[in-house]
Amino acid sequence: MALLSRVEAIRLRGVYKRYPGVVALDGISLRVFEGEYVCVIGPSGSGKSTLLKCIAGIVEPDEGDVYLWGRRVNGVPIEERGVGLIFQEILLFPHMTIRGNVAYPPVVRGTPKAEELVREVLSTLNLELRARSMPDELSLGEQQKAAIARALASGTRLLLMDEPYGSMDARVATELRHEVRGLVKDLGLTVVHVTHNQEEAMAVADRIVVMRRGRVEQVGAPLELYLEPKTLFVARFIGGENNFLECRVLNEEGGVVEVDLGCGIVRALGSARAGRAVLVVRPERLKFSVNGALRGVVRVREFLGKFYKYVVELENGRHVVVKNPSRVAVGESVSLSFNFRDALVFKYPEEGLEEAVRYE
Amino acid sequence: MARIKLRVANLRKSYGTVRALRGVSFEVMEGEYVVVLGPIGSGRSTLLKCIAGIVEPDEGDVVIDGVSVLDLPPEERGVGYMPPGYALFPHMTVWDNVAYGLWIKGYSKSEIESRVREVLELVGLLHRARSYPHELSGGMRQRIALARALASGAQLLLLDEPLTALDAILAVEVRHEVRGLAKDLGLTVVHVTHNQEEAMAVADRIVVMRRGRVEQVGAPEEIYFNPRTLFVAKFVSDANLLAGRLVEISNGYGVVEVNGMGPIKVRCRGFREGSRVVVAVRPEAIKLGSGEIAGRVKSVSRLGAFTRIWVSAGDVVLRVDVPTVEALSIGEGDELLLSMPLDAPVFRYPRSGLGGALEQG
Repeated sequence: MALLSRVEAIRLRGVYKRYPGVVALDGISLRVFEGEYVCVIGPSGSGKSTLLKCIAGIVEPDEGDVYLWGRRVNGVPIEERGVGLIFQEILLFPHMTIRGNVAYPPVVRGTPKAEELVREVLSTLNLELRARSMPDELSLGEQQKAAIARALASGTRLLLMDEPYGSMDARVATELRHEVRGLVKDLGLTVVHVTHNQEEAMAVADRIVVMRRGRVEQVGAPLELYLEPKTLFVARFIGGENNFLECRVLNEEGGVVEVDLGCGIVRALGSARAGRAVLVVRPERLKFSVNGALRGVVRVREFLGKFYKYVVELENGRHVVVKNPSRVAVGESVSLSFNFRDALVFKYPEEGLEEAVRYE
Repeated sequence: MARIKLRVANLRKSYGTVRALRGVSFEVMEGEYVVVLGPIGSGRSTLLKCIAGIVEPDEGDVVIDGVSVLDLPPEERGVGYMPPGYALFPHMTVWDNVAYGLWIKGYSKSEIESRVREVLELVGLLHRARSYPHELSGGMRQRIALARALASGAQLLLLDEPLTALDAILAVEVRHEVRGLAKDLGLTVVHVTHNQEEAMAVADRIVVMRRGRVEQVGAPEEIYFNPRTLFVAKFVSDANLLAGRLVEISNGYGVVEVNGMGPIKVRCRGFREGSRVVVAVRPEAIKLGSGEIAGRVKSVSRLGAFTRIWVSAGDVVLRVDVPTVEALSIGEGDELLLSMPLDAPVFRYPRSGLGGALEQG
């Protein structure tokens, strides 16, 4: 990845926003650098959209400061913040052609060389052939592209997107998100993109902000969150399904712990010395092997294309999910193993495991 | 021997000049879980509405339990229809939402009481009977909608995009619950979706639709590994479609000179030397590290268990999926070798061109 600039495009300091009965933002501090593509993810109600609205100026924080390029913008109205906004509902003028829509902001502002800019944006997004079409003649993907084109033509340096691909087919969204990332990178824009879809965030973000209940749970590069989740919640929310197995720590040495699962003793990475704990191991890291530490019976098999997904009932009655390209029959006895570096042990959470990973 | 629960025969339906269904036929066996998979505009929802009796087809027949139901109103067809987005009444409690349909049909008070109790128990939400929809989580609302569809005692469930309103993570759990419940109750299900992973995960068989027609019907593995059309290959497995010319055939193997990329070896039958063909290579079937094709990594995105890598090979950009743990060190600009699978499906180059063969609308 190219080195990012150290210029702070966005800075939030101690931002709080309360609604009657709900704390939407509970003390958020965050920096986004110029040219960075940041995704904010979290379940519904985690405060991610409110965060975006505070940056845009749609919502004023109760406390805390919002800076754009070093300038404090609390109280500055949305139209003076110079941000481009994209929502799930595609906001195009229905009575104007695509070209008209895209040309609207520069023409209204009297931007010099508006014509040229519009042509350039349309061609970069491969929309030239659609320039004379009306919005409702385009697919949803193309409409959203046109909305993005319009935001770009407005000359903004900061693009704020809230679930921009929420209304389209998965396949269309997958292609479009890649195209849009390439374009904003070419143009050097800064992006904050809110989504509930962790795969989407993993795919396009330089860094991901994981939110939960109005707070930032972890910030990091996609791979960092996938490989080194700091909390059980992040382990659950990032990278697809995960296995959480209650266990007891037997001993610890140099960051490697030995734990008793009640149906086998295994090693994993962790720092807990003793006591109740949770072993986290990803379904794709579990392998069928001859002499694995965990034995069980295959209860469910789903074909998912690149691999099969299995639910294996262990000898202690617990279920684990295994994702593996090899085909095993339902009812078959299997033994499972994993590399200790592919599993993490967390201290058992005070609020209970179910609560710690709850995402609603 | 299972019997046929539902038969759809040559269904046609147009809305003005838009032909939503252009002759759709298939059968669903009793107790079977069938998923109708297709992009927006493929006719899948219209198909479901024709079966439910909400839309009247222009031509063709819908047969349930051996009897044509075209002349029957929706409530007499023995189907439970769940529209997209659930359409729960926001001002009614969970209990009333489930009871409403029964009340409209004139069931007695005690009958309603016992049925509602039964289905709410079944979906594990009897304790939330007095709640309103907005007080429930997405997963719970989904189960209430399901309970409502089950309340009439229908043996055939029609589910239109039952999971789209849920978070991705929840959807994975709920789809499993829905299938399990249907199987436990011995229900027959027709489930419509645009999400190919969802389809593969829950279906006994998949009906792939495109532009108002059935493209292929088969078990998930069959559809995935043996797509019958280019559209199915692309839509279901996101295959790389490599167009080229078959320059050499011997012993059941051929060499395809891929436009802009170079020769690859494939297993093929029924083609003559010189034919224009398209090879459909699934992203995870391409192996990185060794092989005859040289490429350069254009970009990388980590998706969780898999990492998607775009590799330029000649003028072609290949989509390659590699398990994330095996791709940790791969970065933009890396030069690498790759090998193609021998068993990739080969298709005749379509007369309408590649674009035409894939067009959705």
